[in-house]
Amino acid sequence: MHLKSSLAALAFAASSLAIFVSPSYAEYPEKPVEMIVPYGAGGSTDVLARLIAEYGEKYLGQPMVVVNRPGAGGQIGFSAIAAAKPDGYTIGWINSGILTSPIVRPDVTFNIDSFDYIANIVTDPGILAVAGTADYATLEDFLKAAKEKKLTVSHEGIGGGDHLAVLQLENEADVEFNLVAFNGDAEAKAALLGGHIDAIEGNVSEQVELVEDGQVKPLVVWASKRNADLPDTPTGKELGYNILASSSRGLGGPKGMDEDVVSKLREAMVKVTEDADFQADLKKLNMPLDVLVGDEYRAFMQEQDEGYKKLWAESPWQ
Amino acid sequence: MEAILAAAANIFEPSTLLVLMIGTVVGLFVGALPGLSSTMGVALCIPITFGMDPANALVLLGAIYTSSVFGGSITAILLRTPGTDASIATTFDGYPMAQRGEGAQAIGMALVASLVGGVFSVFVLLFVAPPLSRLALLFGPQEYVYLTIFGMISILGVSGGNPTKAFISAAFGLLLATVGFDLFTGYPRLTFGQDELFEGVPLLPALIGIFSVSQAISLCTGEADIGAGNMIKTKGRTLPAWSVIRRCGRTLFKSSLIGSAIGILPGAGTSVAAFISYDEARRRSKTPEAFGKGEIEGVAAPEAANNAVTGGSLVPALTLGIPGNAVTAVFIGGLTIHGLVPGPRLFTDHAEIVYTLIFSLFLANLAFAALGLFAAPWVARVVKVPSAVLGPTIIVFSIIGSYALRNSLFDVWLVLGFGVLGYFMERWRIPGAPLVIALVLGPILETNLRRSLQISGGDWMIFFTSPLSYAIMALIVLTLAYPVFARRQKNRREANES
Repeated sequence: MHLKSSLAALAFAASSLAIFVSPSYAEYPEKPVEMIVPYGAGGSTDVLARLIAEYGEKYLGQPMVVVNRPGAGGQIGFSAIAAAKPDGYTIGWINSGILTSPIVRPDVTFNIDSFDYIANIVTDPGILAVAGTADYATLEDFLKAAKEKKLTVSHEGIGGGDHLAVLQLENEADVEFNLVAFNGDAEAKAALLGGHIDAIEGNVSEQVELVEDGQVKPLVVWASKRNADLPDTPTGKELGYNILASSSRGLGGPKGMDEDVVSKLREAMVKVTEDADFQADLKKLNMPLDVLVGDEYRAFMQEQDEGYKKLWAESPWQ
Repeated sequence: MEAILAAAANIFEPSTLLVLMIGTVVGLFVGALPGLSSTMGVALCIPITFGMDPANALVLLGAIYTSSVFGGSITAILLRTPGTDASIATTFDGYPMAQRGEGAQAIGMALVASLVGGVFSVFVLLFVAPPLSRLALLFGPQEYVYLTIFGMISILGVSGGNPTKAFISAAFGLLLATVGFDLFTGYPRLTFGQDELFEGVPLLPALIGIFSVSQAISLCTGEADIGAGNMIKTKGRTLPAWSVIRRCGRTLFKSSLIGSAIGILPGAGTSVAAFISYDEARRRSKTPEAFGKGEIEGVAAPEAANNAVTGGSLVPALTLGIPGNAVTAVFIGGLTIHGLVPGPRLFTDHAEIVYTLIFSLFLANLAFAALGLFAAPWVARVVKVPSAVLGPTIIVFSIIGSYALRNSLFDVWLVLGFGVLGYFMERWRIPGAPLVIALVLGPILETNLRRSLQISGGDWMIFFTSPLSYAIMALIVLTLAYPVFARRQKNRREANES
């Protein structure tokens, strides 16, 4: 009896020692992974992050914890991701803000090279739309009218993706709009439907419902292929404009993570995005899934970065 | 009609009633805690609704929304700590009442007013939603400019009898409101290189600092012993007497109307409704001088208005898919998750679920009223807590609340800084309310003013073009001229009598 229990104690001690020793050989991840959201709780990036966290645990083997670090239009969160220890336990959500902020503010502590790219999850293409009652049926009509009379077009703040898209259109089509800043798509939509502005530059998912209702007419989608929700709306490229604009949300980590760690994270994210339940939930949220893994994601960001740098050189927006 | 009956059957399912109660309790806490907003409460519960059937999901979100607005009033009255900007105006008279030991009565009136306002706006939503939402679209940026100016008139009402000092306070608030990223030029203004100020001076730390931390400091220094220590009795019943309700009837009705109307306008905001109603009630009162010193009508007005906003703000959200504020924006997200696409067809295609939502808002109003009635006498005893305990406790909660908002230590320093500022302003008898009102309304005024001018290409005539602008302008002039007019009439009456 005595012997048995001391043996058991010994075995227990040995096994706890094994647990104690194991970390150096342990496989990533052995503790929860923090996911920084550079915006407040309840915003669209936050909602997406929490959904990923819910499914991610299943495929990563460890919980994913959402940490909100809002402020400065995402810059505080981006800085925190770029500056995190590259051990794979702190990753975060990035978007085109990591490209435009360094152009405008050379003092920010990150740029396109500060991150390891895990995967893009969602891309919501840009769209230019007019009220359903408007006279223009196509982008050409609209631009023609704009040359005769200055038309007002909304955007959501100087230097944002939609503002830059309109600037690119002004450059390429050689027109000048009266640009009006709004605090978000809701106020801009109300102003469009009320006839206070002529056109709205925004994202597809925000407009689909009004388009289906016939209250809003889409003129062009700024993507490389036609949008599944708006199959009849031409892309910019089809109409001869080399303009890409979208609001994309993906996961990145600080530069310098272990190759093994990054590939584990990529693998887990691919599995999450292939999960049928996840896809169904995402569809309910009206967020268009657009999975770009690793180098593909980096290339996608690179292409946008070049576009913005060119635009900045031609016509700086501030 | 069939849909209405089916919805009525839905709402009395035991599971639905349970969800309703849970949502109400969660909402009360979310509203009462300064670090949590209605928006966050609704947003964080959306994932929970994934597995629910659509009706229950909407009942949960609706209950959180309505009861969180009321929850903010309890702390506004007892601790002068508004949970959200919606209950700023409630502190003006609610807190003086609590100091007199009438906290339970103030909560009781807030409860009745919230119930009246909430139910009124539910009826608005039920009967006139689609045509009203069309009307709301007529409001362009220039009309919002006038509307915000109308809201700012309320600063005169909280001047504490010293317009010059109120003006200084408001001017400082407007200055603070200019801090942050400028949407129209892309430059950060007056941030002094602080990233934390990029999005402007965060409202809640300013609010909590000026109102509650300043008060807590006074408590600690022994200057503002709430009701002279433990001597005061929390007296009387919670519910206001019928005669009081009748006296406030006009105010309740008018504030409900103002709240519902302003709720429908996307981009105006709950606090605008509360400020306008408060000012309207004060102006129409026979004893306007009692306002700001614990006049129960001053609690009734903003409370009826801020709850009336709930139903109103759902009008454009449900019928057009355009949210009236941040909460309803999240709400729309919750709707689409369950396959309910907001728009004109929502009322025809999913009538049953829409009516279930509307009924649940109605029931949520009753539920928080019942809970509040039960809890008021207990929580009102907080004034019996010795100042030496209450003061530090308020400061600790303010710090936790302001940190929780953005996980930022900067906001903690901000709340303490505003607390000290508020403390000295009080000592020098400079009212803090004008500063806060200006800070809330300043950005709305500025963005809409500049937006109007962008649309017109710099032509100021845009402010003198629409009949709607003239209408609001006339209201502003009437409101400003009324006291002069009233005084003259009173003088004439007195002259006749003598």
